[in-house]
Amino acid sequence: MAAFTVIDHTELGAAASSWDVTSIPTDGTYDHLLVKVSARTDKATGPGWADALTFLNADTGNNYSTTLLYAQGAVPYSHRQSSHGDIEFLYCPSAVATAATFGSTTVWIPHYANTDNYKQIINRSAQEAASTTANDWYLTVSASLWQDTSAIDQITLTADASADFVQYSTFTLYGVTGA
Amino acid sequence: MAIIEAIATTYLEADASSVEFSSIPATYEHLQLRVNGRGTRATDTMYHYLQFGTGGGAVDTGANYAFHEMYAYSTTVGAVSGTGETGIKLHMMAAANLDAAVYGAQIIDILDYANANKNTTTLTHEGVASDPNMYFLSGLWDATGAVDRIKWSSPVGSFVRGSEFTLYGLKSS
Repeated sequence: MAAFTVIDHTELGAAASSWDVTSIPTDGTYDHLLVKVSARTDKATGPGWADALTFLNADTGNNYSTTLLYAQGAVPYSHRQSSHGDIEFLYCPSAVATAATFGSTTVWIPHYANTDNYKQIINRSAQEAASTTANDWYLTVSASLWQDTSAIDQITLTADASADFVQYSTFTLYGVTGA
Repeated sequence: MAIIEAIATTYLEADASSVEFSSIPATYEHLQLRVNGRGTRATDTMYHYLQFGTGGGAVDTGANYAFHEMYAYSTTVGAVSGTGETGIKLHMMAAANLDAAVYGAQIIDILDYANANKNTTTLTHEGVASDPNMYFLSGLWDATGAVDRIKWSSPVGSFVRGSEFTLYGLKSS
């Protein structure tokens, strides 16, 4: 049996505010989830980077926390966000970033259907740019916790600041089986 | 049908100044490169460049690349970026001053590599733990052509025997 299965793949044919996958199997079909995102937003002001907000099972309560290492200039920093209403640290270029450039993000959610545990989310994300100016680019490695034991059957990514993901943004969700 | 397929592997039986994968099909959604490498540079890691080609031609050697990185070198952390580069700068090839069996590790994701509406970007995690260093970095090839060729090369040395480079394709259906 194949170890990887595509649960959903979406390439936006037009700008959209979010990507939402529902009815993710939680019956043991898969053990882990892997998300790969190549996205850009149309956020017109501010830095070259933009947030994409992550919600699990449509939970908008203050049940998320994140610890991250990031760089957007000459010095890396760490940051901690607790009791938050989403996971914020998936980055992609905004409208002011280098044209035709999309962010790269890989997210792992191990044992996403295990109802004994809160869920850990491991994220690597980069917003590239043909610029060395601080805030024109962003790199981050993060670990997030969803403080809920429910099996994850829905993942939603929403562009922050009332922006949209632009055309050609892609979102791929893989289910990964164990032995 | 497998979602992840090995497209090509190169194992160096002798030192080589470069390693190149060509004729990469556009039939996958994403690419991933996995490398164990060591270089002939005497000290430090052997930095090197990743270059891309499209349309069946040679790799682009123009100043059309950028990179941004954060790193840990022993107990020191830092961040570096560059634009107008002739390749995406990478680091992880272990240098000749390290134990002969030490090879660096490198995993590179190239998402939506065949989409002609997007510049090519990379996401890399690499390290040589005994050097001791670790890098997390992103790269940009400021061109929208579908990637069909990938090349590693270094201006400061060669890749040594035993270095291994594997290219995987990830499907989206």
